[in-house]
Amino acid sequence: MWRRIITAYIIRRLLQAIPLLIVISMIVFGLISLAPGGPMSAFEENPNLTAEDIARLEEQLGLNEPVYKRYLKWAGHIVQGDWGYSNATRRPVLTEIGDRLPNTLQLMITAFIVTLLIAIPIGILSAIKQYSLFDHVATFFAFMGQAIPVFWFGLILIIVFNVWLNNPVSPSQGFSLSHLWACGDCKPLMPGGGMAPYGVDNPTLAQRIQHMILPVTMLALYGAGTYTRYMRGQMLEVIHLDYIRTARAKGLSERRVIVRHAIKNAITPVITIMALELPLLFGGALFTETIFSWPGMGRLFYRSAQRVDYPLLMGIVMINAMLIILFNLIADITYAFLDPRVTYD
Amino acid sequence: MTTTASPIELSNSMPSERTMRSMIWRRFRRHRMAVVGAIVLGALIFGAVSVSWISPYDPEKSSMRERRQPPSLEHPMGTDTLGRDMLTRLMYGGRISLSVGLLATVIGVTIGILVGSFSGYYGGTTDNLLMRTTDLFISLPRIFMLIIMALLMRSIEIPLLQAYGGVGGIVLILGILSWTGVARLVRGQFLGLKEKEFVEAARSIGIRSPRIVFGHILPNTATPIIVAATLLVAASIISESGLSFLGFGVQPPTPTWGNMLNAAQDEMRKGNWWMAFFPGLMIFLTVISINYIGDGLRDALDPHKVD
Repeated sequence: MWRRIITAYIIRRLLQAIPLLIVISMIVFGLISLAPGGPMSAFEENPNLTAEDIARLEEQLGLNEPVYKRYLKWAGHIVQGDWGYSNATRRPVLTEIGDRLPNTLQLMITAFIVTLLIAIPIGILSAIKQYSLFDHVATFFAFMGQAIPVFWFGLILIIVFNVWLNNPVSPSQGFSLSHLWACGDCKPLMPGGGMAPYGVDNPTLAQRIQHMILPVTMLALYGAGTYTRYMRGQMLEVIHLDYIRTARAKGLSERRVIVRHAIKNAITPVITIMALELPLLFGGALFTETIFSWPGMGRLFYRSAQRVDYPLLMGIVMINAMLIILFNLIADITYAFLDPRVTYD
Repeated sequence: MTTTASPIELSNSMPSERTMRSMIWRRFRRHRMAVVGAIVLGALIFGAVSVSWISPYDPEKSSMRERRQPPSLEHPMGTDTLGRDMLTRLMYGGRISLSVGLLATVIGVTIGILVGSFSGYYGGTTDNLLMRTTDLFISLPRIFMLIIMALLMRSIEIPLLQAYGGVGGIVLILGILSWTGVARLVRGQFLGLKEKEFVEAARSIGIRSPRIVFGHILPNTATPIIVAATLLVAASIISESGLSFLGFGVQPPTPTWGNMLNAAQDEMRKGNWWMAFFPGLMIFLTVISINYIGDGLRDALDPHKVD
């Protein structure tokens, strides 16, 4: 029974998502077809082609048909899994995206977990010790975190941990803390980009983790401040509710009241909102991947925008829109699962 | 709002507005960080406005002898790869970055108010249609859309959009993508206010809908709109600098804080930290100041708060 209700709910939500996807694809397709140049710009600069040649090519490629016809043709192909070819690399769009998507997800999910680990404990402590020194310091840093431009934060991380600080272990002189800032032959403390050392195909786990530290830190900043404040707010709200007073009144220890009664109820909406806003990390990932040369979808989008590679740009936006809808669905279901007051209707 | 206010409105609002304003100012002053924010922002604006009189340097003239100099007495924030004074360029950049944030907000808030008030006032099919459009805009992947639209703007040959490295186009797309929050906010306010007695009264004496919407209901929603607009300025400045940082925003040689950061990307890996540090610091100071001001305004304008 329970399973049937959930299945029906998921199917209904997915069906509702389809019109949204269609409209988004129409908007993006429309925008792109408004742009002059497009697929023909490469030929227009070729001196060996006359105006007639270009007109004939356009005819063959169906580019002189009205926009709606081209859209329908394109949408038909998309539905059948034919997403076209990248103008720059001539490889299928889906292959290009498929190669990078796992890297982006790896970065995003790690950053998501780090954000959780920062925001939730600090938010809870801030609320329990409202107006304490800890609360003021935490609130101040949360406010700063919200105002720091992420891309600038990424650059600062590189300057400090890649350019300035060294690995304290010197190949010639061994370990010394002073090598951190002064050392002739030391390596940088942290790698400045990429997923593995240059030229290494099968990096060790340690190398992988090392290459993730700075990008994940940068991406985690994206939400840490916002969610710390949100967690604090939720917790403050719950602490003043009647059932908490009841729990205290019946003589439970303060610790038990906070852990078993307050946190459990304050945390649900926070996690839901975070899951719901997880797709925002795609935007953050675009900056992170660009700065740290991380071979993911965001960097692919950046490169495609530089090359004005429309099929890839379209493809990435569509995949993104689909993932956003998927994440929203997951967040909804998690919420309903965690909070028995929500009903599926 | 209206210049032709009726005598009744006048006699009602004139004396109380004085005290109201002083009360708001008193509450705002009590929010210490908001005051600090206002001072910092004021200084940044002053620098941007007065730079052509107070700086001895030309923002665009390069000087080969003075390339890549670290901060010193002559160049407090160093020089860039072409030997131009960073501080001077940052102040000129502030002109662009601050006005982009402000103008994009004006566009966003205007669209938001129009959509939100019509949606909330008329309800029914209008509301449904407008709110579905709002949902659609919210679900667009923002930074990706900004980049695609910025590419498009670059190819449209309208002088107004192309001037100063394409500032007009950037303002337009930021505005188009930033009205949804205000629209939802205004709609919510309208839903509550349109049933109130004063609206009923206005309608009963035969005032037409547009006048009720803009002259009677809208002024009552000013507080949350002002706060949202303040925060939107900060968000727009971040968006512009992000876009320019990636190279799709305002194009050099017109300096903005974002495209100066873009130019600094390769330099900081060589250890020339000041080229990346100071432009970002400007963005950060502006955004955190505006956020604190917004916070202070929220407290100061809250009508339910008693002193």
